Amino acid sequence: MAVIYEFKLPDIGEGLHEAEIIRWLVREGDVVNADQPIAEIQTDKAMVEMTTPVAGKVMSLAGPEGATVNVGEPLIVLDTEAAGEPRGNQSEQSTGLKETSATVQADQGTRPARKRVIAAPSVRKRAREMGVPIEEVEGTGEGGRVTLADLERYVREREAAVTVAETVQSGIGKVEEASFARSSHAVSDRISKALFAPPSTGPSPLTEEEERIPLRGLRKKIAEKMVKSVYTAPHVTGMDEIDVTKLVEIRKSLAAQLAEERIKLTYLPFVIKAVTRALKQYPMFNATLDEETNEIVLKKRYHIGIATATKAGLLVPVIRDADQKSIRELAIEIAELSEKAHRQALRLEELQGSTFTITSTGAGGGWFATPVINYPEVAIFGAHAIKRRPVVIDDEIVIRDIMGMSLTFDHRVIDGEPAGRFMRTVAHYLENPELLLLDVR
Amino acid sequence: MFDPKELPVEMVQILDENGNGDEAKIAAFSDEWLLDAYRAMRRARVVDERLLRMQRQGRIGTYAPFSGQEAAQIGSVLALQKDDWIFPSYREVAVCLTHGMPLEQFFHYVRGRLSGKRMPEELNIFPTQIIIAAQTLHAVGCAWATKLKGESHVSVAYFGDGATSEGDFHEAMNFAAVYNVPVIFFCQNNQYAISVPYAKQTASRTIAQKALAYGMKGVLVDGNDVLAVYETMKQAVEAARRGEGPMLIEALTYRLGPHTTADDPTKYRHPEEVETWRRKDPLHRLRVLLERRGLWTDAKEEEFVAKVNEEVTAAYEAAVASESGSIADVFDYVYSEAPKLLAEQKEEVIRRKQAKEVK
Repeated sequence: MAVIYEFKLPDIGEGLHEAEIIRWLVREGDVVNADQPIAEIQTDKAMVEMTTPVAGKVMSLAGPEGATVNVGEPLIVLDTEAAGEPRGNQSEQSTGLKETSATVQADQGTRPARKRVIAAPSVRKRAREMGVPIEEVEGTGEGGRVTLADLERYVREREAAVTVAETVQSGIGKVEEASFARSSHAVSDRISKALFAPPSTGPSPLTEEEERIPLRGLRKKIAEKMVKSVYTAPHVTGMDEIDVTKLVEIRKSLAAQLAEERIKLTYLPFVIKAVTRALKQYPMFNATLDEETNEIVLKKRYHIGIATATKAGLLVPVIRDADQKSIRELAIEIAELSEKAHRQALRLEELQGSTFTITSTGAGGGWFATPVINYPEVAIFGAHAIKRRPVVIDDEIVIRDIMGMSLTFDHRVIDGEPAGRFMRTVAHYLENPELLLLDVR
Repeated sequence: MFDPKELPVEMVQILDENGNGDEAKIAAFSDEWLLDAYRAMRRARVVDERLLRMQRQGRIGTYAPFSGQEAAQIGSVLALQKDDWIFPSYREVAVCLTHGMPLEQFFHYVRGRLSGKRMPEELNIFPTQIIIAAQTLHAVGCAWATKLKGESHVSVAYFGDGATSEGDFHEAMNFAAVYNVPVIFFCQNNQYAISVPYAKQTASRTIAQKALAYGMKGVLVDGNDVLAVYETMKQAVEAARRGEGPMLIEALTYRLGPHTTADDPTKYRHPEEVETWRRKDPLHRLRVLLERRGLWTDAKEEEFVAKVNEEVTAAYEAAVASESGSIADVFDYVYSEAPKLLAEQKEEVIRRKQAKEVK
């Protein structure tokens, strides 16, 4: 017989009313042990990992990831009779705490498809904190046990493979970095509060003339980030056309090749290659402005943010050391990051540390735009739709494939003339993509 | 001219982060002592992690975790005698547990019970102080009383780096030195006062050097090295007991978790910085030493952790089962004899409560 236990969301801050579900760590039907992590939730104050007080089988979850749960409402409903071992008619409070060190066997028997990992609870916890999928880590301890040293080795090897750079800055929609959350932040915070706060007349009654949608979560972060950028950096945008006829042909033939390997090849990897080459020639574009010391900080590595539209809003995953990667590697990484972005599964480090951002608006996004800089970077490149256009070549009108491009730059750091040269350099590579061959090793 | 730049900055360390170090000094510690220290630290870590989870389950109220500071807390308290006085702040859970506070007692505290602050009579531990640095004054007062009464107890004020910016701290330091009382100022410099980093807290290169201005000795010790903390504290306590007066100890450490359960440290600390300090985990280096001496294994650890978990569960259940009390109790524990106004208020509360119950 099922004995139902509702784990109601407690006030885990000081005077909280609600929390947003960021990630479920269990699914309906899973059998969980007491104290096992079940979800990551975002409160007004912090991102928090929740554990279940009692053991049981998961009957239902409060909602999909992204949903809001009020304090006092059930976060998860369990059938405590369906737990790993039978237990009597103990009270709810004591049931869970009987099963104390049980997290060791968290995965056992619940998902037969998955490899069973032997690891101490502290190691599992570290793995989650480090964002390491523990089933991928080779255990070198007794009987294949995964140890802390194994986790560290796994991370080192992964970093060596991707050459991950130090994180310097946060991505849109994620946690603010302390280093630049100083005075300018306070100002823009006030501005964003003024702009986005509801009118002071209190909650207005519902009318048919308007609908009010609370600005929160990712939407709120985007709002704050945009306000900070636009109110801090004087934005200037240049636009031009690029004749990408050759590139269209090359991409078409390469895309057919890669399709056999199930890799989707867009124009974006080519744009990234052209842009990183231009950045190396014009280091001022791969920079930030340190307002406290009045210094322009030139970045020596090329971590390219890719503006990505998702259902929840704009996210900017980062391709690290993009200049070191091949077209094929870029295509694979873009597909992975984009897929994760849509699932809201990007890790913090995948959203941090970009030094320059590219926004690729695609076929439906118009020919030109005025992109907003991903502050504290100093410029952003927009790659837009490609259209068949009549153009004049050697005094004859011919049909060519023309792509629109935009470059927004921070006029505190960069003037119009170098911006023009930067755009022409990017255009030169995209018009003559065979030039990229010259650097292939 | 006194130039702070000319002060040498030396940190006492016996056991480094890899479990190596001064072999002669390490050899002076017996197997038994090392095991006791490790068990106390591991117990504290398990308790801390459980309490954090229990807060997330709504079983206890706001909680200030101390993981990462076990060596500073336990190394210092192990150098004390049972009847020495402790004046803790809210993060000194490991100090209090190691000095004898029952875990059940602490559950009363974090569950918001009046009994939580009523320490058992036989324990010389003051109620947890929430007001930053206020306990430094209480410790000095107690030490002065000890001296006047001709007793041999030492008083220890526990506080953090943030407390050193408070007036109370400076008054306490000054008074203690002038009256040469047997008090130890034990500062766990975990480098953040909630979100304020050390560099914004003080321009001194060390907290230890602040002692000089008051005419007392100061020492900087690796707060993640339980051996160094113990040795340093032992010297300080013995000196105080001999009548040589107060001392300031700065134990350099790091809080691995949030300030409290209502804090998000990722907003002000870089993950790489936390990673650096995780490698300096005080438990890790001691465990390496124990394994080298063949004193500890994974199996022993698992068995021990399971035992502590059972202890936590039992203490929690006992605390919940013994909870009692009514609204009238809030008038009871400040004055030994209630002033007239307070007594009237208490009677009124009881009257109203009874009137409600009749309805």
